[in-house]
Amino acid sequence: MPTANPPSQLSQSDRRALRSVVAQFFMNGAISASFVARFPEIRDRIGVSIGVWGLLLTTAGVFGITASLVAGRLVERIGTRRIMMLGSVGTVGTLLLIGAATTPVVFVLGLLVFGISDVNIDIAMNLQGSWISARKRVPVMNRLHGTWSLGALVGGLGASRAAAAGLSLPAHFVIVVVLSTVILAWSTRSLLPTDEHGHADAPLPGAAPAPRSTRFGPLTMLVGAGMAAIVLEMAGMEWATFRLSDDFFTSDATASLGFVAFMAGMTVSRVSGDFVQHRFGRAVLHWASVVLASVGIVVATLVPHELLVLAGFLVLGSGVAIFMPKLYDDAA
Amino acid sequence: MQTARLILPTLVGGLASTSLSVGSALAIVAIPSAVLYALATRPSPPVRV
Repeated sequence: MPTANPPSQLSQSDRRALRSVVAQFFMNGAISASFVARFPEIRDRIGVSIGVWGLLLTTAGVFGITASLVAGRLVERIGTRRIMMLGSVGTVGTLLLIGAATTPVVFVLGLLVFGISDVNIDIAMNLQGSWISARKRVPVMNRLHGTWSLGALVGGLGASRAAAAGLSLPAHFVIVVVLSTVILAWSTRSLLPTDEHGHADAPLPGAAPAPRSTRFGPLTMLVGAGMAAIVLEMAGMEWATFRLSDDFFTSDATASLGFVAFMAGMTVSRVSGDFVQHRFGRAVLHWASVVLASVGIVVATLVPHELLVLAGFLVLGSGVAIFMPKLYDDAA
Repeated sequence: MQTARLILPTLVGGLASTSLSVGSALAIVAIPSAVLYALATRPSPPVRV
């Protein structure tokens, strides 16, 4: 039986480009996780309270959001491949700055440069992924985002092992920088050399055109759901370690396992999400993810037992993993 | 939507710097978020004509 639009074979250069984009997604997750999983140690090293730490993250967030407003134009002007090469220098380089930081100013500076580099890489690697996906006529974006989660899981495990081995932050980050430099120097060579679209803000392949008129009700609900999803994601990614270190006085290695548990749940869900949706339907996947996230956040934040807290973050990650992809679908 | 990235650290950090634990501070901010997500994404009931 003939099939409509069968998956096409990628050329050898496209296959190499796909491998490079996969490596970029993986390394992006791994590099971020290397320092996020060690946040409590960094907080202690720069000597600030948890309240000031929150303000530092907010300050970096303000600059990150501002940078994201111009990132599309920057990617368009410079090109996705060069953005990924330059951005990788930024993320890898600032890892050293973050690791060496002993004052809040240096830490925020590092976080700021990291955030600007990261947001540009994020746009560029998603664009290259979507172009290759369109050529192949087989969706690869879910797998690419799963690869990011897998990279974050590996980076988090590395951070936990480094903390358990008593490796200092600068020593750990130097190892990550060396590994990342080797992998990224290899992978960026095979990225797509030219961009397909003249405009980086153009809709991604398969995306529905933007509606001409906005429906206030559904749009408000979508924004509300998006904010809620981001809060739950950040609760697991940026605060799981503090829940363990500050509430249970765990070792740094155990605290970083909070991040690892969250990322493990997220990775499993992202890898298996398509299968579950195909097998049980979209509604079942949606409500299962809502229940998992709700149970997970309650257990992770309120149950006074560190193993159950770890389990809570694992369950939270498995539920939250589906939230943003669903919202992107709904928005389209 | 991205403003949530600014709200969470400020609120959780601020609450946790009082006498609250990190878990309680997270619960105050994140549990209502789970409820909000569930309400905002629930399927609309069929419209009766």
